[in-house]
Amino acid sequence: MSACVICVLNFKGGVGKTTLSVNFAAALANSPSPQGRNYRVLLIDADPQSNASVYMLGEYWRREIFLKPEKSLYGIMTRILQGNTQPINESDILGQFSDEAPRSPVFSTEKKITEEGRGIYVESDAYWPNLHIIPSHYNLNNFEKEIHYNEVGKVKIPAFSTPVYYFELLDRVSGFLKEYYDFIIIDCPPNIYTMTEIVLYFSQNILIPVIPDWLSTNGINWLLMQVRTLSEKFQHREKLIRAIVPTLWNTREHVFSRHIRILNKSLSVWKRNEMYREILSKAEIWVGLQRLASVNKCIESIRPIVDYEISETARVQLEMMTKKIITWKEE
Amino acid sequence: MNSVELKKKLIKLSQEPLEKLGSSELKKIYRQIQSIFDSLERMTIIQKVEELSNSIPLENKPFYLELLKKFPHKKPSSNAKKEVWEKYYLQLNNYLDECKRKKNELNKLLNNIQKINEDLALKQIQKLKDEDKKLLSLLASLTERNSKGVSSLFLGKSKEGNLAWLRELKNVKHLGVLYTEEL
Repeated sequence: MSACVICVLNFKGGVGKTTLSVNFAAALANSPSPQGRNYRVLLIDADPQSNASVYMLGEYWRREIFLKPEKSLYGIMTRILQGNTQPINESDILGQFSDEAPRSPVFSTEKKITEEGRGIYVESDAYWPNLHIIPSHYNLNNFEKEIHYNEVGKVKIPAFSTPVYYFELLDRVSGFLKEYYDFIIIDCPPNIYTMTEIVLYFSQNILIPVIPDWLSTNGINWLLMQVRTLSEKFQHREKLIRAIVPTLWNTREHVFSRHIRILNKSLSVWKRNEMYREILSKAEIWVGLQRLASVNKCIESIRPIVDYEISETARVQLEMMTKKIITWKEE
Repeated sequence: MNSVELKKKLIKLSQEPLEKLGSSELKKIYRQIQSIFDSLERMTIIQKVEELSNSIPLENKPFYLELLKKFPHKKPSSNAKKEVWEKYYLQLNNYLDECKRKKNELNKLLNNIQKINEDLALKQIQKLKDEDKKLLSLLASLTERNSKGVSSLFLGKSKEGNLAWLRELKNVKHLGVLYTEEL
C-alpha cells in the first residue's frame, strides 16, 4: 500500500503551515486505521526554520539535532548529493518502529512555566509510537547553494547511471517511506526554491493554508500559477490541490467572511478554467482553524491539539478536516 | 500513555482470570467500565453538536451568529446526560436548517438588488423590516475605509447610508483581483 503524501504549501509566511502540518500529523496518528492499529504517520520538516521539528521534539531537537545537522533532512539531502543514494531507512527517522525499541522523542516532553516564569521541559506521560519525523535543520538553507544542476535542471550523481532532475532527488530514495507509512505530511518552506520543488514532486496532494485577508487571497492566484507551472515541469505527475484551509480567522471580523466568499466564488471560476481544471478538480474550502487561545497554548507547551478533549473548538475543527484526509487514503 | 496503549492494556485485562476477584470488586470494576461507556457515548454526541456548530460556512458566519442569538435553547453543560445533548442536537439542527432557508431567501434578494438599478434597489431596501436589513447587511459583509481604518457597512434608515452600502455591493463584484471572468 502506498502512502498518501500531503504537502502543506503556501509561499506566504505566517499562514499556519507548521501548526497545521504538525497537528494534522498528530490527529492522523491518533486515528484508528482499518488494519486495527492507528495510522502510521511521518512528518517531513522541509522548512529550514525547523519550527515543526522544535514543536514535535522540544528540547531533544536542540540537544540532538541542532549540533548534528547530519541527523536531519539536510543530512539526507547532502548524502544523496555526495553520491550515497541508499534509500531512506529507519535510521534516518526519529520514531519508534517496534514495541521493544526505546521510547520515541516525538512529543515526549512538554514545556511548563516555573513560578519564576522560566520555561522548563518535563517528560510527558503521552506516548506517540506511530508518529515519526524527519527533522529539519537551519543548514537546509545551505542545501540550495550546494546543489548545482545544468541548464536543463539535471544533476550528475555517480550512483545513478544518467543525470537526474534535481527535483527527483528525494523521490528516488523514498521507497521505504511510501511502503511503510499510511500518511506523509510535509511542512514546506515559505518560498518556491529548490527544496519546495523537491517535496512538491514527491507529493500528490496539496493543502493550502490561507489567512482570509486581502493579501493572502490575492496571493492564491500566483500560487495556483506556480503549482501548475511546476506540475508541467514535473511532466504532469499528478498534483491535486485538495483544500484551501482558512486559518487565523475570527468570528468578529466581517472581512474574513467577505474574503472567504471571494475565495469560494473564485474557486468555482478557476475550476471552470482549462488551465486549472485538473489540479483543482477535487479542491474545496474547509472549515479551517480559527485563531484561538487554546491553539497558542498547545504550541507554547509543545503539545498537539488532539491532547484536548473532543469538545474543544480547535480539536473539533481539526478532526473535521482530518476525517476528510482519511477518506483520501481510501480513494 | 495514549489510546493505543490503553486499548492494548484492556485487551490484556480481558484475558486475565477476573473470576479470582470477589463480587464487590467485580461490581466496582463493572460500574467503572459502565461509566466510561456512558462518558464515551456522551462525548460522541457532544462532538456531533460541536461539528454541527462548526459546519456553518465561514463566509456566512456573522449572519448565522446573529440568528443564533435568538436560538431559545441553552447549550447543556458538559456533564449533562446523553439524552439532553441528543435533544439539543436535534433542536440546533432544525434551527440551522431554518437559518439556511432564511439565508437562501435573503441571498436571492441580494443577487436581485445587485442587478437592478439604484432607485429600484433603494425602494426594495426601504420595504424591508429592520431585522431583515441587519441580516442582509451581515450576509453581504460589506466594509468601508474610514479615518480609523475599516468599518462594517449596515443598512439603516438613512438614504445616504443605504446608497453607500448599495454602491459598495455593486463594487464587490468588480474587485478585479481574483476574478478572471464574470461571476
